[in-house]
Amino acid sequence: MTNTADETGFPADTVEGPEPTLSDDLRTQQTYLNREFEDIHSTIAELESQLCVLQEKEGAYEAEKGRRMKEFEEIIEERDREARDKEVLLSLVANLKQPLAPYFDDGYYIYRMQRLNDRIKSWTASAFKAREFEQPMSPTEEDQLVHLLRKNLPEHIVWLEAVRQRSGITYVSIQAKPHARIAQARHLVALTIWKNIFRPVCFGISGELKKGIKTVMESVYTEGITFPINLFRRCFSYQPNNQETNSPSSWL
Amino acid sequence: MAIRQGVGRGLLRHLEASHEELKESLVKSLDQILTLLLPIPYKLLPKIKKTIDRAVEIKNEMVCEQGLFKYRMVRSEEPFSPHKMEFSPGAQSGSVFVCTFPGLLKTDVTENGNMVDVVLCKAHVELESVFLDSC
Repeated sequence: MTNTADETGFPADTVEGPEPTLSDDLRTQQTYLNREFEDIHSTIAELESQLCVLQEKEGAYEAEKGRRMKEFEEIIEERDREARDKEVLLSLVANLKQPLAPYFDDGYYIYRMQRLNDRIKSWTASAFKAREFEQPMSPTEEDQLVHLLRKNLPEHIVWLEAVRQRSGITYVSIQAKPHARIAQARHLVALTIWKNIFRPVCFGISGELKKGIKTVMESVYTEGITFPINLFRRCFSYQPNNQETNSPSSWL
Repeated sequence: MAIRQGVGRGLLRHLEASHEELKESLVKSLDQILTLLLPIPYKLLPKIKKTIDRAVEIKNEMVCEQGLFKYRMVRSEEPFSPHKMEFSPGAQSGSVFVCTFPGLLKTDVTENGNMVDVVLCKAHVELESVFLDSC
């Protein structure tokens, strides 16, 4: 079937042949119009489908835009908050009553540490130098010692166990010789001082805050003010608490 | 460094109130342990108290400093390093047996921005030979 158009602009099924009647023309036109109508419907359906897709895309875009805008606002807010925090911190530092400057040179601390060591060396030697024990330790006292060491200096028990396994040196053999006994006493004192006083960022600080403050200090030392100000604020509003776990693996 | 110092001072100001109580507790526990190890009766308490007081004083001063100080106890079995450790006068050999006083280090920042630990005080140690000979 050919679909060429005649003079009226309507297509004709056949060019040649008997003259079409009026009803044939009308049928032909009706058929043509029906096809056109179907085509238009099909196009409309297709466009509607495309419109739906576009509307979905628009919805997703709007949601993404909303999310991005929210993020942007949060970033701006955080930037402003940090700028305010920085100003507060700088004003705190500027308003400190004492000027921020080094107190003493290194020589002062070297001297003080040496003096402290000499002091410990001196009294431990006086106290533990005796050649013989006046009274051997009773089993009750031994239990008490183990309990106290476990509670306060478990690292010493770990050390005793390590040297016993490595060199066969026992607690009894250490106690039997004055030099070893003095060294053990000095070790116990040094361990107590190091663990409870020297190692923490500040004497009396809780285990929870130790790590955060250490990070803050090291960060400030190398990079200036780059730590979250909330951490700084926490330092100045917490309650002292020296309860912390004494993990033998964490002390060295 | 000034900020670090400010943080240290702030911390100290807020923690100092609890120091006496904490020192007392430390003195008591150390006294209990050492008294059990004494060969003959000896009044340790005043000595321990003074030692703890001095140690806290030093620490408090360092907390308020601009420098970053570190203290290092030497691990048993660690090889002896003359740059970081020293032992009592006399011939000693072997690896570290026990650390009797922590070393003091200070962190410096180089021109490249790297952090370097400088030894201010060497750690005091006793080497294996002393214990193996005497035990």
